[in-house]
Amino acid sequence: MDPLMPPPVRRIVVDRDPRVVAPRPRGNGVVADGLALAAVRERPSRAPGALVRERMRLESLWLAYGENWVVRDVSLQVRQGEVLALIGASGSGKTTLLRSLNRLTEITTGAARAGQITLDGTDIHALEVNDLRRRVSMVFQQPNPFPMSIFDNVAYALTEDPRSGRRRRRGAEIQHAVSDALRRAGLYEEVAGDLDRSALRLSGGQQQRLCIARALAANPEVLLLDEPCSALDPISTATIEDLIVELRESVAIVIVTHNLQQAFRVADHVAFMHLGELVEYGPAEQVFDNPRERRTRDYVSGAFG
Amino acid sequence: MVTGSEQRERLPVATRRDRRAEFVLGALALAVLGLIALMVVTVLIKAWPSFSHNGLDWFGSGGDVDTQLRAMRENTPLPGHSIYYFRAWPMIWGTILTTVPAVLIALVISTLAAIFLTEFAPTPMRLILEPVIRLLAGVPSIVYGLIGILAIAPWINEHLISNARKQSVIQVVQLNGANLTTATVILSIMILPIMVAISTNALAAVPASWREGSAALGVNRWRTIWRVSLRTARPAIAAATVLATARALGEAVMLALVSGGRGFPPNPLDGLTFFFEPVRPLAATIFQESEGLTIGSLAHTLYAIGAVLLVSATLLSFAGWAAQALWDQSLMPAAELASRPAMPIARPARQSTASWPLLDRLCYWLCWATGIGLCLITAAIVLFMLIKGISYLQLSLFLTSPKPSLLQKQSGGFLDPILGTLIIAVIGTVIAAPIGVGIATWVSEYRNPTWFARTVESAIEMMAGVPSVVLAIFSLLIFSQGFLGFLSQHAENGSVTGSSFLTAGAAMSVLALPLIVASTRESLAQLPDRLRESSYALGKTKATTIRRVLLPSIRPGIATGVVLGMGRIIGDTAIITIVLGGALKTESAGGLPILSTLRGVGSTLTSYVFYESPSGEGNSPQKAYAAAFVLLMIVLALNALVTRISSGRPVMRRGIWRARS
Repeated sequence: MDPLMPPPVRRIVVDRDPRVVAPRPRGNGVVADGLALAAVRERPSRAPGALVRERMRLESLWLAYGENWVVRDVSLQVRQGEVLALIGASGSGKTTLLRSLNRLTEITTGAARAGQITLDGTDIHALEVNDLRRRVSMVFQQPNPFPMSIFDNVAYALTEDPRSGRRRRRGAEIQHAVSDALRRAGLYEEVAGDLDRSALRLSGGQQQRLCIARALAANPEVLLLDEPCSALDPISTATIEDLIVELRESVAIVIVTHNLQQAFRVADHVAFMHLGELVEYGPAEQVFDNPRERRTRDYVSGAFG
Repeated sequence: MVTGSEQRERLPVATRRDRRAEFVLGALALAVLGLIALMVVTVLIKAWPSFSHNGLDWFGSGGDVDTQLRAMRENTPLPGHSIYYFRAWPMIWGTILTTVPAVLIALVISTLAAIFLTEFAPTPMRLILEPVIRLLAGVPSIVYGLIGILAIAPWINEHLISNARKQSVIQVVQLNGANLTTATVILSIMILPIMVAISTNALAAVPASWREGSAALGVNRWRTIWRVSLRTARPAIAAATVLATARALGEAVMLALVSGGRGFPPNPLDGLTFFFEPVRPLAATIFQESEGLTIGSLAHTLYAIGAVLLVSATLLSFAGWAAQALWDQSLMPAAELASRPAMPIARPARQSTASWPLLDRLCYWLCWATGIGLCLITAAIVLFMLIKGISYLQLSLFLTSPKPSLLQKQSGGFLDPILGTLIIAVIGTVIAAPIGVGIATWVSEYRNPTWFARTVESAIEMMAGVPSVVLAIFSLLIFSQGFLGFLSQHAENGSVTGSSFLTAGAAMSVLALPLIVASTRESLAQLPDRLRESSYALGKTKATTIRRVLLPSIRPGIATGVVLGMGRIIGDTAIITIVLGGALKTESAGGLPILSTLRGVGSTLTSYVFYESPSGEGNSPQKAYAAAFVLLMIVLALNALVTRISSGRPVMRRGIWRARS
């Protein structure tokens, strides 16, 4: 161990069966506010008989920036009806992996790839890139609403869809789609009064839900979420987590998160990555409660990361 | 900080010194405000007789402006009219006809070029083009004028205007290469670099997260630029447009050379001939008639033209502030976004456009075409000046003084103009630098009361927009007052000429001041607060902190401003010709060794170029090219110096400076 580093704050206990314990409300157990509410929510179980179907498949995927391999030999599946959480320490390649799913890595110069990613059986590199991104949409770590009105933000993907021709901005069809997307993102009630307000004037949590609505408006098949709550307060986080769980029936969801508790609360499948490698991939219960790998056990018990 | 008056006596020495520093700096700021007010008031007062004799008809049309001006010059009133009779419409129309199309052309081209530079240009191309465009923004307007009158106007005259066309209107107006089209084309090329520079900066400042967010929704590059980037940069582009309009409006020397100089209102109904008709813009008229500033009626009329320009420039400044405010507002959350760590997406990799809709692909190719066109124009200007300059440059030109002779062999070189340029640059900078740094310090560090600081900021910005030809006639008016006679010389009839290196240098300092203030202020604003706090924590006063900590750490910023100001001074022609006068050789006045030169008159490179241009008396294109080349080299050297100063900061200091985005 580096002598200059301070000792770890948490003691590492590896003998006993590690478990992630959601903190319980203090005192007499009366839930006082939204904060406590957010902390004690149980992981929602999937409705029995819900349709689960594979949408994307990654086969021995390698990704590099320049000379630097950041994702090494990862194979996993993304299923609709489920939430897949990518967890792991910083620099483990989670975000790069996520960005490769809709070829956003290509924006970065020097990005290289080996292996295959398929969407419904088709190699995504055989698809037209903008088509692919309309089908596999992404929400970023920082809320990034465009400097336009709320309406224009949500209508953006619709009005910019070349397949249907660029539609008129205020068509009834678009209006309907916008309010529908806002409803699905759970934002409609809050902003319905003034859709012409600048999106930059919304709060952080609202902005992030707007970004989700913006992505949903184009009816994507897969939704990629890159630490969507890391910049948000616990109440907004709770709202967005509920939303994710609700959405998983209609959209395949991949979420990258730093927050183990969040992964525990929302994920059906968990992939644990470390230094570019996929260490463990399996149902959330198994990864959290009974990890096969020691590194996974250390990570989920808070030994590092 | 409010302290009761009863406490004031017992204040410690350090605090009193602090107060004094604030007072002195505040007084400087007030003085600048006073100067602006003085300029507006004196120009308006001097202009009043012209306006009062003509009423609102001043702006209307009626008769031939050239004849009216000649009547004033010769002091023989036109029959049936007063000596002040003046109808400015042909000139106003000429100004509109040159400015508006030039700005519109430059707006379209600069926007496309800025998109090309930020989004599509291959890195090597961008790395060459960006500094060259910055260089072009600093090229003195006399150089553009020279290229226009010696290269472009003859070409247009020979190839675009047929003899039949010339014959058809010979009774009304004589057509030659110096006309509306030439003026508009050169003017748009002249204002293009500054617009490209500002728009490129604005587009580059659009947060990557917005572009990325749009890409993630499956929207192609062009649509993302169109809907998100341009929308964000719109206010900055508007501000650039305002700035360029102010420059085009106030451009005197270049337009005096290439616009034809005939007070003729081109008529759009003339068909194609319209484009080849001569014009006479307002600012160019002041410059052309400046020798008549001693004649009462003509002077009043010229000051009236100056007043119109001054008011227009001020109104444009207001429009600029509005655009700027909009820009700041829209970027506020963006700045916050940008400060957070994001994925490093420096420049997107090339993407195939094959799948884009046709319109998008057309726009994409249009961007490329503009970018390549810009490269060609830039290369043409640089190469043209290089070839002309090198082929006409001789060592003897540097070593001999100019002589007024029409014979090439006997007219000498430009030793005196080079020295004159040096003298003017030094005087201007020596005056402007301390004042500029003082004002910037007050505005940035004291700002008390805030409303006053805002007013001073606006005044400085307005100062930056005042056409130099207006500044010139204002300076001449002030410095020819009797009590300022010690700065220049007395004419035979006892009046003060107002022309000397000192007065021209003082006028020039007003040109340099805004640049020095802006640069210093920006640097001070970028210093982190902890630098100030750490000094206060050691018990130092504000004044000491500024003097010992802040100003030393922004030395590169101050130097950048000073060098930029120097470039502006060196490139200006109007002030030299009007305030320094037409003498070619340096002529001393009085007996004291250095002061006599400073009180004397002479020439600089810009006025020498004008003198040797077809519009000047020397009319020797070869010498004009050679001098313009030297001028360009000096500007290039200053440019390189700015780049070096602003990028080559010591490594030690970089830690203290907040990372520049």
